Amino acid sequence: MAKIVVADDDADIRDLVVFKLQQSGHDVVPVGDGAAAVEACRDVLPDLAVLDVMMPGMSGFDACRELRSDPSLAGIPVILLTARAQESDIEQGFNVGADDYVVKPFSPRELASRVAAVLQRSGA
Amino acid sequence: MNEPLRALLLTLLLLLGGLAILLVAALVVVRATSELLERRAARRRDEIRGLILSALLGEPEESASALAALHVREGRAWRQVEQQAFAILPKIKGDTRDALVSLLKNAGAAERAYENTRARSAVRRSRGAYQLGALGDRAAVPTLLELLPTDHFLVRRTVVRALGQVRDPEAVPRLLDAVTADPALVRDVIAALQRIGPEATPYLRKDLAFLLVAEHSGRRGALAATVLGLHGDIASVPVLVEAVARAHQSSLRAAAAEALGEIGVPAAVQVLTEALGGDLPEVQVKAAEALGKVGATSALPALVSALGCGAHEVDRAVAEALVKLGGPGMQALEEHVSPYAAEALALRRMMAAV
Repeated sequence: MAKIVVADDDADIRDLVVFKLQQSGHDVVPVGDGAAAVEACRDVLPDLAVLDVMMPGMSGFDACRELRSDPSLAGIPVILLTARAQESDIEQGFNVGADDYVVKPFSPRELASRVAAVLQRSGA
Repeated sequence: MNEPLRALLLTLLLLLGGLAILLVAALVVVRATSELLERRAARRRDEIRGLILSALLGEPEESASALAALHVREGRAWRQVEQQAFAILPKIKGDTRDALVSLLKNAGAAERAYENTRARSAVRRSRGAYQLGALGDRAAVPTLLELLPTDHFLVRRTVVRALGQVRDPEAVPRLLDAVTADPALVRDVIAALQRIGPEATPYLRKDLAFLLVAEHSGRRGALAATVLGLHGDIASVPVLVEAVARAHQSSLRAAAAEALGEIGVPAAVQVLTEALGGDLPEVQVKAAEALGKVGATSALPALVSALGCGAHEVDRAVAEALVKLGGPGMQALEEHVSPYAAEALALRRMMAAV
């Protein structure tokens, strides 16, 4: 069982992701924006963060950059969840240090598989 | 002040005080009732949300029990289920989406959506179009197309988005018609054509080729070219090259040049170089940007010659294109006297330092 922070301002998507990950046996901390995601990561030091890109205030890109710039949080794997599917957006996601990228509309089952793969890679 | 007047004033004061107390009490009651109702509504929403998620993602037994609990709901209670289900539907795909579509269809949601599209109210027609789009059934396309010529913008926009969700490429010409009639729909039509995916490209190519022959181009052709570029459709390169070379309207030539840059094939370098040497700044800018994106060093001499010879926006685009060409382009900028060369180099250094 891993500890996962899930950040999305869309309650429908957040609930879907939380339900699916909890069903897979993970301990999930849901938040509604990027700043809250960084704060939650500081509080619980999760094994993984799933961040939506387009959030009010601090975006998923910014939150990911913030995590990477803090030595105590830099090792947390990040999966970005976004409606932006252009190549440049995906490239930007990897440039800010994301480990994987899931495009909306998304399949909850696919997301759960990607979470499992990233957790396995990171040894959590 | 005489006694009767004082008594009257006192009575009025007491009355006003009493009224104020009553008003405050009424406000407290209204607020408390409204908070109670909101809490109840939120509880109902959460309960329905939980049942939908269990039905879609739960273990088999949990899912069956949640489905049964949802199916027994009728009237207003079911409408709340339907509302939440339709809100979730466009955000998911795969077997979870299929399960939600089945849940809605088994409860008669498609029939209700068709009924909504026939309503007199534009809001209900819009809702019907949204629901048909969310269900994603191609059989709904004729109904959606019938709704398209309406004079209500909200309905038109919802129908365009719904056609994108249904992903029937047969709808492409009608989507292009819609943008010809109403420029405010450009972004929605582009998004819909992108959602339809590569299946849309043969229709877009055919439309663009016809527009070139018929010498009617403009907005419709520019939009078709833009979407072909966004799809990265290599089969469209010949028609886009032709559009850059001989379209009558500069907006179409510019859009075609931009699309060739998005597709990024070396076969486009010659026509883009020629367009760069033309006299239409709108087209020259897009040609320079496209040459930078294609990254062909064969375009280097043409870009260097163009630097400092055109409008300022052209010079800036040319300098940025040279940066994108890497080593040889950077060297050409170092050696050039144009202030735009110095600007592009300074920007490059700043970006590298971030």
